[in-house]
Amino acid sequence: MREHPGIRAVLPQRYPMLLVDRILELDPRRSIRTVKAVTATEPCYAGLPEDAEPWRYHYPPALLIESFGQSAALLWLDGHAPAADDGLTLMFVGATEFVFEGGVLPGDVLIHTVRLDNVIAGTAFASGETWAGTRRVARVTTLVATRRPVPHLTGPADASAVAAGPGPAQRSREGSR
Amino acid sequence: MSGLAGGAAAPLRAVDTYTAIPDGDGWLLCSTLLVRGDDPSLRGHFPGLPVLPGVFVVEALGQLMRLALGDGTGAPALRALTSVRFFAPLLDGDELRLTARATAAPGGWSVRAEGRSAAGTVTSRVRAEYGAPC
Repeated sequence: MREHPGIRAVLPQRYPMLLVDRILELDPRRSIRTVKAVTATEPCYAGLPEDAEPWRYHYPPALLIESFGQSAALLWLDGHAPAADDGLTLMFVGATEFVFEGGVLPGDVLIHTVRLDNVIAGTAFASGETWAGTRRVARVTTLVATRRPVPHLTGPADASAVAAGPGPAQRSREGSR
Repeated sequence: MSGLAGGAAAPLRAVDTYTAIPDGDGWLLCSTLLVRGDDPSLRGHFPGLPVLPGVFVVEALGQLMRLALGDGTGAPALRALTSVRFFAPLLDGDELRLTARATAAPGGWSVRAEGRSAAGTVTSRVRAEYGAPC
């Protein structure tokens, strides 16, 4: 089991977007089980009015996806922080068949089970499920992540430059593995 | 800072403006979102380098669906992302311009959406199914 400091050491996200609380199990390069506890004090609930109906308390699917994706990143990075100076940021680049099967409410403790299915040319392909107790609340057939350069302080006009896929630095890094 | 666009729990208000036009058996929907680096969520994604999280495109589409087609009971809620692809990040000061076509489907809506930057670059594509909340 690995606690939050070990997660912060690996993932670049910070409050309120660091959405993994604990690693329960990590089988390197194969699978990971993580915990994300949902509470009523999360910022996503701050704007709800006093008379909000129950459905308005459903935890946003986008945050569940992000939490799952961060769990996949922890698996791919094998619990180790990437080299700080390679200029690459781990990015969620896509998913296929991310299906939501049950609502998530404050008080639910999400368990993500992620399997790393493949790593091809610096791009990782994962699959898995998310449970709240005995309820499966989501499953995903394929989640795709890669490490891309993000231009610092260059402004939106240059953002398309990072869309071309893995750069030379990434290829050489992956090639050395 | 959070929540109220579409009326559900949300990490941010992900729709600044939107339009909804009837289009055959469905709707043509458009929305905009200015990427604000000082949004609390973006301060954590990432510290010193605000990037709109890709999943916030999913959030924006969900809020757009609820604003345009919501019935007050939580529908349309995201039931499945059939496919989502992110091609380029949106940085502080850029704009997410989302266009979506929602087609009536059994129990809800099938949606195809495309996100572009202010410069017109396609940054994301989404195919999704929306229905009653699960």
